[in-house]
Amino acid sequence: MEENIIEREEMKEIVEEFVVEANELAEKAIQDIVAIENNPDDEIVNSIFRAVHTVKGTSSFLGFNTLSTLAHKSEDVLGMVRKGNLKPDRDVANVLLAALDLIRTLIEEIKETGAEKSDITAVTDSLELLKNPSREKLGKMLVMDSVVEVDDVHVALNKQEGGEEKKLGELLVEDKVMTQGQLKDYLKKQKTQPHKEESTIRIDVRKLDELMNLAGELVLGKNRLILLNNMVKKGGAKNNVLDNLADITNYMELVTNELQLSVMRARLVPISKLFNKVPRLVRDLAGEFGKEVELEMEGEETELDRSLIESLHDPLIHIIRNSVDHGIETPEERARKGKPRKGQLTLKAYNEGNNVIIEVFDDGKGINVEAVKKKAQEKGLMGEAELAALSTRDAMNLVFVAGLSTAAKVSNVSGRGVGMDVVRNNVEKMNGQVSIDSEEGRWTRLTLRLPLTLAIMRALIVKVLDELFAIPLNTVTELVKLKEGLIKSVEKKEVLVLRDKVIPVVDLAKVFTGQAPEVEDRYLVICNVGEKTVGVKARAVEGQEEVVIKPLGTFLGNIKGVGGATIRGDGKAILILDMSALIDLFSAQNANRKIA
Amino acid sequence: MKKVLIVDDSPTIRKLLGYALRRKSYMTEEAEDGLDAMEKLSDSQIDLIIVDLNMPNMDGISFVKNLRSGYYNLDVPVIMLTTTSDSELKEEAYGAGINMFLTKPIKPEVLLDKIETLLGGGV
Repeated sequence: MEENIIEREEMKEIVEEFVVEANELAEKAIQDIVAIENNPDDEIVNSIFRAVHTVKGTSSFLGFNTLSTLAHKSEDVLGMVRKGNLKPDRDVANVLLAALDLIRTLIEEIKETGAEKSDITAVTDSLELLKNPSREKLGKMLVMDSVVEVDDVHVALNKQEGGEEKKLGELLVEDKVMTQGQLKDYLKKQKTQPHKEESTIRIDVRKLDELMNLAGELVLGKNRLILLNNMVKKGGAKNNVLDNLADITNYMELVTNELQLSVMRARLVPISKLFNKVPRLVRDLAGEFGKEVELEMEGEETELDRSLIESLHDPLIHIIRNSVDHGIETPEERARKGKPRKGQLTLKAYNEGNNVIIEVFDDGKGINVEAVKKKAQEKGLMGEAELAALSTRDAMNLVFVAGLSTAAKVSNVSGRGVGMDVVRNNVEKMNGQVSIDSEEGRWTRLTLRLPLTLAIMRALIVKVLDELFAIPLNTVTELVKLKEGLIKSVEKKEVLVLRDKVIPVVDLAKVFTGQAPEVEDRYLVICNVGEKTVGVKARAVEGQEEVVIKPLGTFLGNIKGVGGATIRGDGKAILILDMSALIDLFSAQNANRKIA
Repeated sequence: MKKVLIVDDSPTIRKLLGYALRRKSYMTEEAEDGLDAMEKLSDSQIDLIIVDLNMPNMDGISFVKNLRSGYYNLDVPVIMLTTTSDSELKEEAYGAGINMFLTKPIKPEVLLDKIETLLGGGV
């Protein structure tokens, strides 16, 4: 594009607009493709066609030729579908989805680096194959996944035409151009691509108006304060100054509370943003594991903070994978058990007070509590007596402990060494909780409980040396008042024995400065993150407070163990501890000491 | 100043053309499809229209047909700017009453030249 017609700044803005627009179009098209596969509808096919067409036109305008070529080839295939020359079956949908995934990858690359990097030949080859009526289904998929070359497929196809009765896959493995594992590896690689947080947000104009309104109210409050200030300066109206001040304070409190709520609400986005991706995922997983799954989703309109939606992505996907892989049985197994062949998977989201609840329910084989207990015993996590005393519900929730996945067979996706413990850690990082309930042989229900927002939280304010710190209250389990001799030393490390449990003691002063202070600490704050419990030494405990979390900015943002800062009523800033990181830091320091 | 109405369902394209046109001292108005463009036409005086072909609600050709007949009956110059180079569609578009058919992508200065030609040189 010529610099003198469109200036660089304008171009940057146009490309930003393009990234947002193209992403939305591609995402919508992906959802639509999943929909037409189940239920071909002319209007939906048209809408996919238009979306891809627009991406093609716009990208060619901006000189993104790779993207434009890919969109063009996809459009050709969609044109055939639209004219009824190509049936949008599973294979066609697979290739189109791969093309749209690649389109999104290219858009991401444009957003991050300003240039297209990915190679599109594999996908365009598969698109070309679709246009060819004598296509071979498996071959196309393999070419799409870059496992084999198009030529290899043709060699195998020619053999078949020459009377060979073996299947294409068998022939390809026979020809040693691929192994079964290769395909799986490639799929895995695709699925583990990191998920980036978006930094722009679309907001309902009404929400913006509401904010503007409140900002106006705030100005009124300010005016009243100025007036009062002037009045006091002049020394007039002494009698009702305090009444007036109380009145204005009330007013300001009301408005700021309302403003805080509105801003919070403005950050909320419907969970459908996340749920929309689920049909595609379930469809892929069901195909992969040979399951038949009926998906039902409720409460897609439930709203959640957008940063939470993004962090929720991976845990939710993991849970769904687990349900399809380990929960729902194969159609044969289900038929034997007298269940309908199609397994039921239900996703439900709803509000409960200041929390959002997300439930993932499947009518699969449920959890074998005895197997979980046995495993816990084998791993030496709990003794027999302890396990016997455990309620069924508590025993089930042992699946969230590392290494206690009960799946007999390790599968491609669910068994990547990532278990439910990771899900729990991730959810707890969001200040949420996860629990499981099940009836063996019948169903399993996973429940995620998340706060509406991460921006405000309850914290315990403690004093370490002479500094105040805020500890997120959801990690605090109890407070122990320290007495002489309560803290014991085991292998030169300080621990507290609390009701037969040995809890390591963290000395914040030591963690942050490397030196032991000469102060007597009077409290131990027992904190629990995931499976780790530690006691944090504190000189004093100031109390609970609702704190507004402020990020620390780029200079200070990467201090391990500090999650942010907050400003207290007296205007002083204090640090908020990130207990999860702090425990890691503490463990690392301890490990170092051992080696030295 | 002459005013150009840009009709395209892609906000990126609208923005891009908008910048280029305003740099050459044209005023611009935007519409996201044919139907939207109809409304914009009732609201303000338009000197030239750039319209996409493939759009939801009302496509470019239907828009031009509406523009040239019945209630509107306007002879404002229309440039159809589209990714399609299909000759049948091109003919259909000319039949509907467009003045010029251009294919995307196009260099802004080329487009601006064409606009000036249609408007008789004066800005």
